[in-house]
Amino acid sequence: MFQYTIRRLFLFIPVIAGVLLIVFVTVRLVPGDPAAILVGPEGTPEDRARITRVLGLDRPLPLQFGIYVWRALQGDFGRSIFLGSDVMKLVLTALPATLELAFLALMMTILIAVPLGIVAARNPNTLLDYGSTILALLGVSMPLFWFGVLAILLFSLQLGWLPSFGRGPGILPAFGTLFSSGSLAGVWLSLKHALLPALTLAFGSIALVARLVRSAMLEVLNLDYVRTARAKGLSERRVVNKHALRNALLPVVTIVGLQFGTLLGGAVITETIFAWPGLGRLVVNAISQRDFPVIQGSVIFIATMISIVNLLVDLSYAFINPKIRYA
Amino acid sequence: MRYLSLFLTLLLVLFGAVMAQDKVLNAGLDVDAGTMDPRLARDTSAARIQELVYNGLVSLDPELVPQPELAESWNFTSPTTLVVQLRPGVVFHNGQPFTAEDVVYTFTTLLEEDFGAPRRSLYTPITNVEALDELTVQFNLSQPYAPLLQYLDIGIVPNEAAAALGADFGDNPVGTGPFRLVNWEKGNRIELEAFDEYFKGRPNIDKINISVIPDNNVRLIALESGDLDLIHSPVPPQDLERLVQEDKFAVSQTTALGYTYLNLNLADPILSDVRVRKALAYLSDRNALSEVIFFGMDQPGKSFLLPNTFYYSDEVTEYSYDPERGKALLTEAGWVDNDGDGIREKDGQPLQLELTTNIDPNRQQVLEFLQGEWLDAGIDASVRVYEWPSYIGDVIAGDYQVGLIGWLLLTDPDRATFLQFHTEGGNNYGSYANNTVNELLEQGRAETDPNKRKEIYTEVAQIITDEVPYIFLLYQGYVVIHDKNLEGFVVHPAGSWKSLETATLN
Amino acid sequence: MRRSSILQRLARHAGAIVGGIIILLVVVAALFAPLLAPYQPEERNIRNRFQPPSSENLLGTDNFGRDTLSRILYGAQVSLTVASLAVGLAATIGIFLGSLAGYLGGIADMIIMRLVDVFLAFPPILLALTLVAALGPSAFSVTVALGLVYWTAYARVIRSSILALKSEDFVEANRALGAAWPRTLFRHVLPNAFGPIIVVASVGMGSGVTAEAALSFLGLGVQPPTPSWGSILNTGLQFLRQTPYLSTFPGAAIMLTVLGFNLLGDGLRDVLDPRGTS
Repeated sequence: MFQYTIRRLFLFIPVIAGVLLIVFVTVRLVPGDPAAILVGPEGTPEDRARITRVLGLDRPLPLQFGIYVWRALQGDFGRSIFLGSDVMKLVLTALPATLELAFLALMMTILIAVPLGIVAARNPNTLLDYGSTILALLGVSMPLFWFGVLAILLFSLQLGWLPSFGRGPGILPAFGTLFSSGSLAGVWLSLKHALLPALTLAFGSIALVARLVRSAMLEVLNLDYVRTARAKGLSERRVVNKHALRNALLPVVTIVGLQFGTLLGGAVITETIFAWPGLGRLVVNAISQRDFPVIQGSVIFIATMISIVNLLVDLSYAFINPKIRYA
Repeated sequence: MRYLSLFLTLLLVLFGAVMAQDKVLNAGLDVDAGTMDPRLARDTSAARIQELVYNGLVSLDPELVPQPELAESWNFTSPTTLVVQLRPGVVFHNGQPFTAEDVVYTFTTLLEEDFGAPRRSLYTPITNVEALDELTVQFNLSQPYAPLLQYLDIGIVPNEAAAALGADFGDNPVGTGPFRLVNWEKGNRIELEAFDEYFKGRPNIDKINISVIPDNNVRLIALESGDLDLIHSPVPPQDLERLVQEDKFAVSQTTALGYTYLNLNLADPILSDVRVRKALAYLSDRNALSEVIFFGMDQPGKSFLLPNTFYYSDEVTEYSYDPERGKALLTEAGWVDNDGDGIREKDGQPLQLELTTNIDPNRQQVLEFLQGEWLDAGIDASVRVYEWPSYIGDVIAGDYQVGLIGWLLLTDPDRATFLQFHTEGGNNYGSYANNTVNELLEQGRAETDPNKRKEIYTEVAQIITDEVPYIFLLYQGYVVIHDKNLEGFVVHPAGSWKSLETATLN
Repeated sequence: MRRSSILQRLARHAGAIVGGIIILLVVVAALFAPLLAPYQPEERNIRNRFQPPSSENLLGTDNFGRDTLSRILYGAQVSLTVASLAVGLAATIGIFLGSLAGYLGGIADMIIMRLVDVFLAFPPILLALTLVAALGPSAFSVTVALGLVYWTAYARVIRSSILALKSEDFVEANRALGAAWPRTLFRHVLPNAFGPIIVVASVGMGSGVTAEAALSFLGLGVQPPTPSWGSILNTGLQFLRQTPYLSTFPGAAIMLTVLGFNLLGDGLRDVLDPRGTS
């Protein structure tokens, strides 16, 4: 197990290197010259040449790559071409917002998907089963940007229940003020801000998790010890909660973990609609401005996080199910 | 007794502080400012914010006439020497006094090649700037340069602080302006606070929170649901009618300092024929574009002389929508539909034109509209809409036929013409060349008498109209929508929010 | 499991039936769009724009007075073509690389699986976004980008089914006979992995349709005036406040179709792997 972990950690290096190489090359293959965007249409050819030189983009590609990797290894990911700030600073500022959103979305996924899955499993092949399946699938079938705008229209403008955009103070910082000043207002406000974006983001995973819960439950409900429990005359509710659920949830936990990685990277559209100040929006902006250092820095960051989550999931899977051997 | 009055005063101050609610203005923008260093600013958001944080030597009033700001007065002692007298008693947000050295530093760094100022070429006629004394600076020019005063609205940065911070100055701006930066979450939110020692007096608004909301629908909903007090262009034109009728909001519209045009690539064999270009001009229904797509927000265009400016002239002729005349011109140019497929051809080649622009819902609709009109006239018109970076790259490289672009912030007719139509102009993407135009543009640049300049640019506008390197489709509109609680906001054609320094919030 | 019994089981699976019917309807609508559509999708009539649903325009008209129903019918062609070609491309790449990895093993397996890891570490929409930007927005580049993004699932499926087969006798026998790799692939591996591949492909069709719409929202989808569901929906959203139905109908079309593909995919999975342990 320990050896396996170490080996997997070593395999990180080629994966991240591969991600970096792909990003570095594709962003430079994309037509569009950062210098031209920076000086705007009003810029003259001399202006563009000057800016290109200042940015170091006139050097040969392998040299640029070498310089980038060398500096990155020392923790210097460069400066944003457009925002002027240090890339790491930008990424680390956006990170908490993305983590907060992904975490809340994960909570919502579980809160919605697990009951749906259980209902479906307890009533297999009935209308309830189909109904909950379709309900779970609706989320993944909906164009999220459409749902997002409609939801803001309804809950912010028509009903006035929720704020229309942004993150508010943020949940963690708001807990800080809760402890220092005892005011719950910040936490409440942050939750109101996060509700719609988190729900929108959760929609993508609900169907998958609900489906897994359903099949895992079905499997467990047919196992001997559950049958025995039933035979002993325990109530169905008790059977489900006490015996079946606990065992069924083990594999679900790992998949839910895997979803966390997807949620981290999947917030691009959600963050754009809800003006949520996270990594997804940072990257999309950077791509549209050909802000090479920001694209590179944030994609490497996202990719590393997703890889770590994937690794943790694999490890926990091995931990839960010792039958899996790693050769 | 003395203590008692002191105590009472203190109590009053404390009580007042508790009583007085901060007056906070919440504004929304579509994109964040790239930087808050005015020398490096290039996007309109950065321009909006830097006017609040900094002051220029001059500011442009809504008629674009330079008014004294940090400069008290100025005088051209020779056609190539400008002496500026500075305002005494101005302090920066960090408490440092404003002096001639700051002006010298601002323009010297701006002109340094490696500094990377995007708009450096607007200032290159300046040879150097020198401080004659503490409050007098002199600009030495390499040639007479009439538009210079217009460009002196750029914010002045403090010499010492800017030099000390280097590249980080853009994140930690220090200016003399009515508001100072308190907090900036990049790409998301800017918080400004009234500057107590502002030389024109502390603003009435205590705080301005500017939120970046990329989606047009969401930004508008945020205003209507009360989360924002002020938004401005881009505003979906189709929503204006409804908003005008709402009591809660004040909607101000004006013509912006920009035009949207079709850039015809004269290096293209089809478009090198002036008859084809004229035909396209007759086939483009500007009134319909203005009404159908912009709901009157953008007005039908005519030439590069912008309406509501001093230089606008009625004398310049225009192409009214006349499809029959357009078709006749195409036939005259030898483009005839011989095989009856609805598309004209000449020497066996079909009349194919590709219209391109960047991703923008309104621009896209303009091209879709024109495509339909042109198809009816027998032109095999196709539309391609793609990302701004790729698009502008193709335009710069001359790799396009008919490109829809816009020019913004045209505070002076030189800015709308010299780089675009001069043979040596850096933005002459369509390879337009006319020696008379070259000479006139050079004269216009050197001439200081506004009336003579007006004559020169009217003449250029007429030549450009006759030779059609551009088809001027629309004069861009500028819209501000704000809550009526905000009073005294003056809509400015350049999109300036400067009047927030005197506006009041109830 | 034999093909016939799969079909029989599928016919008894309610979700699969509903999904299958939806897909069938959408495919028929797409195929016969020229016959079904009352107007040409690009036929404008400015004086007749922003019309609510009526007997002349069943789903109303858009900002240029074009008939929304006709555009949605033709849009089905575009959206389904993009999605199915993207799925085809992804499956081809995935099957090729996955079978190479499984068949060759060793270093080749190692390299290909790291490549899979690299692609899994990318958020899919970001990668698609960059690729479309590189190729320039069009139906073609959306197809290519989605194909390049979604191939990993197929590679994994094929690889694991080859690894399973490797231990079975008949492939060993074949290899002993010197059967070439493509022959083994087409004769033995693909037929056996057919089930899981179809499941991945069915769900992939759904992802393809929504991904095209998402790219449209970011301005990088199929470009107007070509009607794809994503571009119709995105145009409709601009007029959300004046004429809500302009976005409602294309949105509903996308939702229903994707739901259909997912239901079908779920049904297939249940039928092919009744215990749901895949």
